[in-house]
Amino acid sequence: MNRCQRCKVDIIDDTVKCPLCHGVLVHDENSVQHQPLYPTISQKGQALQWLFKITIFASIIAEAVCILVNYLTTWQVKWSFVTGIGLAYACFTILYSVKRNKSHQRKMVMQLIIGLFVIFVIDLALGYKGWSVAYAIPSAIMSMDIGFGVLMIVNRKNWQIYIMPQIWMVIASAACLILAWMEMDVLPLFALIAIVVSVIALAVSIVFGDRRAGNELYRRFHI
Amino acid sequence: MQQKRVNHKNGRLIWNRLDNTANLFPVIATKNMTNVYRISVTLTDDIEPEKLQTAVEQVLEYFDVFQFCLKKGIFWYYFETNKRPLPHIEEENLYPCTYIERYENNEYLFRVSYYGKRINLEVFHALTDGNGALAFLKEITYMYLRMTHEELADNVQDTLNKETSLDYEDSYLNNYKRKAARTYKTEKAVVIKGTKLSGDQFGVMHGYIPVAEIKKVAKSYDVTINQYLLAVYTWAIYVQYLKKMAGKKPITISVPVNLRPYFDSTTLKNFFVIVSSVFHPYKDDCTFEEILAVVKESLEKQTTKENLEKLFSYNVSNEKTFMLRVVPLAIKKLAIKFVYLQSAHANTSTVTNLGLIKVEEAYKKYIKQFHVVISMSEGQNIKGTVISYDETMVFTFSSYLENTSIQREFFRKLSEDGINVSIETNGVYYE
Repeated sequence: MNRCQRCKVDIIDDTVKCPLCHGVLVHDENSVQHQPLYPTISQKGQALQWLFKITIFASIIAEAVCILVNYLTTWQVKWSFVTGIGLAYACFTILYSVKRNKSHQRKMVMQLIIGLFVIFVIDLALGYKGWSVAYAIPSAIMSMDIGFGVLMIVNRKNWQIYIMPQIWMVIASAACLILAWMEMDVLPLFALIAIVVSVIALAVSIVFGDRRAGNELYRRFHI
Repeated sequence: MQQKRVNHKNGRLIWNRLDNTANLFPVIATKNMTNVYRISVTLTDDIEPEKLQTAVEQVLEYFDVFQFCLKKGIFWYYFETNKRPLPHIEEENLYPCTYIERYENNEYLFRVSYYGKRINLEVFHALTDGNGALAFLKEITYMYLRMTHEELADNVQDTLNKETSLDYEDSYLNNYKRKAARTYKTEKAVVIKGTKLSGDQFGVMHGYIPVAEIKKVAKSYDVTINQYLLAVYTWAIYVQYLKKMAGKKPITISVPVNLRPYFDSTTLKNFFVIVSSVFHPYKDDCTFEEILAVVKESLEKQTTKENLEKLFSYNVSNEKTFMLRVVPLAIKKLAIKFVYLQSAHANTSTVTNLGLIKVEEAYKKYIKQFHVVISMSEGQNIKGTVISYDETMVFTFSSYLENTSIQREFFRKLSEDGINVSIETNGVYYE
């Protein structure tokens, strides 16, 4: 073992300097080679950080080019806003999908929420005709309902975890129906179908899910 | 093991509320404040990974708490039996107390790794405290040793230790008696700042101290070993960080106290409160003896059963209030984070002492040492742990800071008092 004469302590590490005062150690000739207690750790996550930076930087450059071209050509139709929203959505998708601390249900729901928002903003940017809440968003919700149904069948052992996303779909479709109804004179058929599909999907899970569904809801809503 | 029971892999699903302290950890945990701690055991021989994997899997079947994964409800987080398989146990390739990525770890809230002769158990604090983790690690070690040393079969039964408890009651709720006044502090304390180690580096420094020598020194000062160590730590901060100058902010060291002996509990879940050793640097050039007297008095006043009960009763009474319970989790999280940040800067550092570890006589000759490492938290860039086994105590500093002057002063003071100290690090201070 080596000794630091200044700190008056023995240093077990295989080193020439004291970790406390950085003074040179007095080497004990009789000491045996020490096996390090800890491994050397390599720095991780640098590649991912670079991927994030490059993605965001490239998106900003691409959007700047789009705005410039749009301004110099057809500024009456502001299509560069649509490309901007599309690029922002692509960035979100890339960055969020590689997050390691989010479950796949959460990733799917977040992807949908942001996706719906993007559709709504595109509709707004193109002069708001109401097609987003009347057709696009209800279609996306129904696709998610079908997606969760498929996942329940595939992940049979743990199917009850998809009940909460189904509840969120009911809430999203209800919001969509109200929005569409406010904008249109007649009852929006697509939005109505979406809420019916979402409610039926949830009802099927609860009724046929029996105790497992009940327990899942009890756990999620316990006070 | 003969007495196998129905386990989660056969479909048994348990769910459980988080205990009072555990509610905090999922809210405040980040990559830098991981709220993960590590307890390691060093054996006499190199670890055989396959046997370790089998040992962990077999022991896990008996410990419901360690089978839990964390789920988010509308009003509270909760635990649920994890049906996924245990991840493959790997050789250590991360710094101690690295954030446990839930979905990379099959949602388990603990991680087992090995390096050389050492087995590491790293646990997210929401699951249990050091005592719960130690019980689990001891059983893993016993099981592993029975698998690797056939001669043990003649001396010990192939089953869990009779002293191990598998109980996971919420001892906070069971021992809470009445509504108490607010106890957490908000007075700002000295915060130790400095240049941080590069990247995600995490500094670990173990000081090996002969128990007999430190006992003798503490006795000569007429204090307990814990009081002595806390006073030396406070002294090191006062000398190296405050340069022996008076100041308005106190040096406040948090000391977690295990409540099990006070309330006759054997729970595997969290059951501790935090008391504080507070020293106000009221003048220049205080002596070590003056600091020691303040630290001793500060700790003695707080470690009574009545005071400890008061400390957790305020939080439990809040948890029991219906109007607070029905607040959605998203809002609760904001409130918890706010209260935590308000009180976080009230502490300079933390020192946790797991005490003297006793192992069954038959296994003793195969076990060399225990170590504990804790992660950093808001405003605390250096922390300490104490654990003793056989005749050696290990005081471990964990830190994000490059500078080791506080550690130097701490160990030099021990040495000045006639204690032989040996130092071992994880190597980051030489890079």
